[in-house]
Amino acid sequence: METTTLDLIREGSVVTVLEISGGGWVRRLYQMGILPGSQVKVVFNRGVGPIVVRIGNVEVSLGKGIARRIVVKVTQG
Amino acid sequence: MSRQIIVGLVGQPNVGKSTLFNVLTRGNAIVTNWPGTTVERSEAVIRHNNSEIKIIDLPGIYGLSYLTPEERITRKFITEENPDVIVVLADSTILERTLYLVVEILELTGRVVVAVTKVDEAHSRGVHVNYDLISKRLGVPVIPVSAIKGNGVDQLLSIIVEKAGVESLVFRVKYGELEAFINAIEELFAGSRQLSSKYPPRWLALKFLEEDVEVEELARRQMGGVYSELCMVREEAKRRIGQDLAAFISISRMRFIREKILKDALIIAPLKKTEKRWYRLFYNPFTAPILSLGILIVVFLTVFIVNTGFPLTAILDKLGYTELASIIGEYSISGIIDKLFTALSNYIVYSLGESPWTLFLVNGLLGGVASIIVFIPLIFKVMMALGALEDSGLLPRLAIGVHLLLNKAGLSGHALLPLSISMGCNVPGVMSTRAVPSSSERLKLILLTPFIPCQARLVVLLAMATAIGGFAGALLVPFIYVVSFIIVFTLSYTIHRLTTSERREEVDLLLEIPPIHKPYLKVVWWFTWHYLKHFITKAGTVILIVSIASWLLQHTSLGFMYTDNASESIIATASRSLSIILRPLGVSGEYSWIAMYAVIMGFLAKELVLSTIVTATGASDPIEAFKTLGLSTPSAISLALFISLYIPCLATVATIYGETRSWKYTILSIMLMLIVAYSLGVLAFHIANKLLTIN
Repeated sequence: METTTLDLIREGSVVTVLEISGGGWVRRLYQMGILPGSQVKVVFNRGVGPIVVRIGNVEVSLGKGIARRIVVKVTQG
Repeated sequence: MSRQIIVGLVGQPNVGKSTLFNVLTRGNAIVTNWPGTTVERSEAVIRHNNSEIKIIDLPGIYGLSYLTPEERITRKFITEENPDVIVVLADSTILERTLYLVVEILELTGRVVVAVTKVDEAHSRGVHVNYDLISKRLGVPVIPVSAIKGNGVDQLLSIIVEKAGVESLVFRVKYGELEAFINAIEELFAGSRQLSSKYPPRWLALKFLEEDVEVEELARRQMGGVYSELCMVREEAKRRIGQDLAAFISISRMRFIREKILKDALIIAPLKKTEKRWYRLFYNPFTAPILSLGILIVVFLTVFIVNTGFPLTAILDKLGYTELASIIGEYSISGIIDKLFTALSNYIVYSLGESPWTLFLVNGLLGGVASIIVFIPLIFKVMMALGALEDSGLLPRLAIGVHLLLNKAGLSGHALLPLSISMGCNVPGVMSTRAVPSSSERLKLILLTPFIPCQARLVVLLAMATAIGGFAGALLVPFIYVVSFIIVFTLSYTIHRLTTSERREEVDLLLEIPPIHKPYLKVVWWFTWHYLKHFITKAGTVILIVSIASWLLQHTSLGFMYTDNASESIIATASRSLSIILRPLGVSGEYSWIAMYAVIMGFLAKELVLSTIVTATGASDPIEAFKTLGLSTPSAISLALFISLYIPCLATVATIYGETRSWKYTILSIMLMLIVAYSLGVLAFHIANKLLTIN
């Protein structure tokens, strides 16, 4: 399946994180549960503005700049 | 009696750590800073079953890397202060993620008790947890607590006493393919007595593989020739694993939690839709800014009306209900407090007789106390409103809602809280920038939040607006708020453009969104108190000292003798020679020195502008005093603008220095405000002059 970045994922899709490339936010993302291998559901994404994802029971809002650095593959939806 | 038990409280942000700390300590904490940092350290001593327990609240952290000052503090605390028990908090509603920190800490020390929070909330959300099973698997006590209701708190304290100093035999996370490398490195570290007496060798090995800054440095300095051997093993591990080792280790921990710790111990009943549909409106790029700004405006207008009557009074006045307007103004909180202090002052002068001493007592000391007390309820309500927004879970959503708008100005949604708090008081506003994750954005906010009109400035501006009267007077306050925000955003945009090379680089947002619930009064109060106390202790001390000193200056003549005529005082004489500075703002004539005098006093604390003008003109109230100055409407407008913007007050200057530890930055902040205020003041004078003379 083709890989893309989190900011381009349609609302409602579930993705698996493959890689987080650079930037000062990497460790913080790991600690929040967004790390290679984790399953993330995109709860909200309208192309503009921050996107919202759900990991387990928590929702996290990510700015576009951060989302662009998260490489994912779609597993559902 | 046994010796004191030292307990550290550790947890991820939003797991309810401060709630639990407040319940455990019954609100009796001593707050200081961690040495060499601006991170707050709260601690309290309590008694339980004849034991004395000292509880230290450690800063909220997500993990144990060495990246943020909060994480460094926690690591240093565990390895150097030798606590008897570390209470690690896990949130039962998001157990999988919050256990991550527990697992990381268990790799460093076995003196752990786990407190699982928000048990009631988890239950109502269909989350069921087998705590005994988790406790058995982790090898340490696991206590479910509900801090708000107080359930489990006693049991937690008893376990702390029982386990004090006991190093539990804990589980080990297995790292699969990496295990062989960990063992090899662990053995090398175990060879160093110096290091292995302070840190568990296995933990050192893991951190070394993660390329942790501190452990790397320790290894380089203390392992001598073995260091190169360590690096070789790590290089080999990297080749074998084929991915970032830190990521591999994090993933293994997560998997371990999921498959070994929580398996069959956590049941999440499928619930119907937990989030209501309308919450989504906060995420939508079109509705979110409107909804968020709408809520913020309604909240602040309500607080302003209760505080000062404004803008309700101005509107009623315009509609012809002058009497109603003045009643509301008089019975607003600030009106009532003002009345009480006037009555008290009159009583003191009446019963003690008029002498320099009673005047000092009434105007210097009591006046100073009054100007602090007048602002406490005003700031209190701003903080209560924000606290309710924060605890209900609405504030993070509002931050997302305004993120796009703020982004255009080179800021992020993280800026919302500092900007909002500054509408109450700039001192806690500057302090609240600590929560902003990006350090460049934080510095920018420290520099810019003092431009936001605080409650003290609102009071000064309202008096000036009433004195100006008419159409221009009614629009003065809204005009200055709009100008202030425009300044903040324009400057922020400019700084952003100057400091970032990439044109499209945006300031990013990474925010956890807690579920929406009804705010708990207790938690709202803690939030309020947290920020209000900064006003009382920091700003309060400065204001009190300054108002005493300023009274003395106003009553000392050039020959260092007492004078009851303020216009003969040292400071008045100085103001006369400096008053030329205000001429470009249109302030001239016989009384222009009083305006200058007020500007000088206003640096000390903005609300002193009012009392200075009143005492210097000998008028009975601020409005009459402003009228005595005989300013034309254009020059009154430009003076109001200048006074609102020209400088952070002394308490804010002290806070800016405290937060940045840099004189360069503090002076930059003062210069920036002076230049902006002066040039805008001059500009406003000329524009107003043109507009008002045409009509």
